[in-house]
Amino acid sequence: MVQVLIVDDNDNNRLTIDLLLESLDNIETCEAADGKEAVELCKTKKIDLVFMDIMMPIMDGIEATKIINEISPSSMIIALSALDDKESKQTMLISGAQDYLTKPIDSDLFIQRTKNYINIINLRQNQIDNQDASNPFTTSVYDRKITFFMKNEESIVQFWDFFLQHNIYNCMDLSDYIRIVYGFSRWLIKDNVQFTIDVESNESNVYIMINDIGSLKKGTINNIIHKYIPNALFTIQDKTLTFKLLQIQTVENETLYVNDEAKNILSKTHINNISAEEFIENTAISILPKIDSLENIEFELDTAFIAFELNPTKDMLHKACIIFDEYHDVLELLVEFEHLAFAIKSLISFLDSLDDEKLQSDKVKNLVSLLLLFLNDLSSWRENIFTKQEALDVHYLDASLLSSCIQIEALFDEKDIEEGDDLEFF
Amino acid sequence: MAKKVILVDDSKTILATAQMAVEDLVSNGLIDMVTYINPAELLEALENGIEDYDMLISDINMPQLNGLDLATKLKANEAFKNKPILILTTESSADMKAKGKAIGVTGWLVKPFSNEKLTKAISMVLGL
Repeated sequence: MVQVLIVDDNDNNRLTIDLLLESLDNIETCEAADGKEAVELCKTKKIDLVFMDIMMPIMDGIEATKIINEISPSSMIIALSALDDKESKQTMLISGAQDYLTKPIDSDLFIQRTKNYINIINLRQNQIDNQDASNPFTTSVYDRKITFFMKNEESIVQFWDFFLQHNIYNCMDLSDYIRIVYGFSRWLIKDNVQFTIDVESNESNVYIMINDIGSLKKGTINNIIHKYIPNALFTIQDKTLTFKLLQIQTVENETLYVNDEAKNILSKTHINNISAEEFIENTAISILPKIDSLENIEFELDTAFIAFELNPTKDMLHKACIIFDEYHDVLELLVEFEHLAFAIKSLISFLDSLDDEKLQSDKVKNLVSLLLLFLNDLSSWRENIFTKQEALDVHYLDASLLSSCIQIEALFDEKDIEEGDDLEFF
Repeated sequence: MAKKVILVDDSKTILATAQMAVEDLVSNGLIDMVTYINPAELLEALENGIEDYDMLISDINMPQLNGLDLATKLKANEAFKNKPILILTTESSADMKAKGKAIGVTGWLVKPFSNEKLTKAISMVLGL
């Protein structure tokens, strides 16, 4: 199923595209009325194809294209530009749109192009198979080959220069391999051998083949390669020396996004505004029994987390969440600590979102130990404020607790963190 | 010799996540990490000469003692004034950072932090 997002501030335009897409199979559409909505949608949902209007309120298509390219690089973005708007069309392409369609939309052209886009999207997702591949490692390479005809010194220099000028392959130790191929080539040319070098590739590997290496001894080749690239992958078959290079995959961890309210809490400065002593002095005596109830809830919650560790099911975790909710409700009543309540709520909704499949993971043990420490932080906070009354600022834990919640979530899901994580040296 | 890093934060959750974050540095014998939950206790141990560090990582908002005050005291102490301090906090305002810079802290990492960033910060400060 190909997920398509239609972004346009004009309802009619969205409807037109939606109706046109209905004639295609295996498509699911969603809509956004401005760039910001589109960005938010791309954060939560995997989108394959985006039709993006340019002029929109709140956030225009140019800005949204840039952001979506960052957060969801696999989404293909098609700009929808007005016929006479050459300049923004150009800007959209530079910002990362992969093609454009002009408005008003010509329905036949739209359908034809969209089919092509979907073919490309499917191609990117499917395994490739090229029966004409000449490398001995795999037939799973693209239907293309770069061939260098090595006739003299000049051709070898051209070969090296090609890799210096074009960054098409992002391989580990690429320059080492090029240098070694260069070395063998010079040798062959000196022996008056004319030969070809072929390069094939797929998403994860590049294969460089020196054809007709016959005049060099196998043992010598082995020794030289082992000396310069000890962990090189290569094979010599039928007078062809083939290197297999690994392309560096930029592993895109999913990012954990932080909503605006959380950002606001994280950015608050809390230094010695109200001390615990002042706070207790000025706080109605009526809330104190509620504070006392927290200690009991902590105890029950501790027991529930341990029970969950022994039997890590969604059901057991949900039981703990219900108790956690009680804790949240008390803090919410104490208006002064709504930020702590917010942090706890965000942790609860994360925990409640975990399904049995995720809870199979060996990370559950870590999760529980962090949850118990988290609970411990809460009870120290309660003691520092209400029992010992020694905290210099009653809000000392606010931002920190929320950042703990975010870190627990990011650790469990192995996600990158959007907010914070900013390092500066003075 | 492994370098000694002391981390002080009032949150046990943060102490534990930080320890998980630097697991590689520790298992490779590059650093040892000691944690304190109470900055006042740490200060006392340092001033009495029973504790020492190659690098200190400190939170700011802690109930007993503010991390910037801790840094100020250590920067005024002959034994520690040249030793690096990294602030690890949710505080990210330019104002607060300027205060830290004036005190002489080496760097500033904003929470929530990733494993990579904390490892990078420690490696850069200690030249690992």
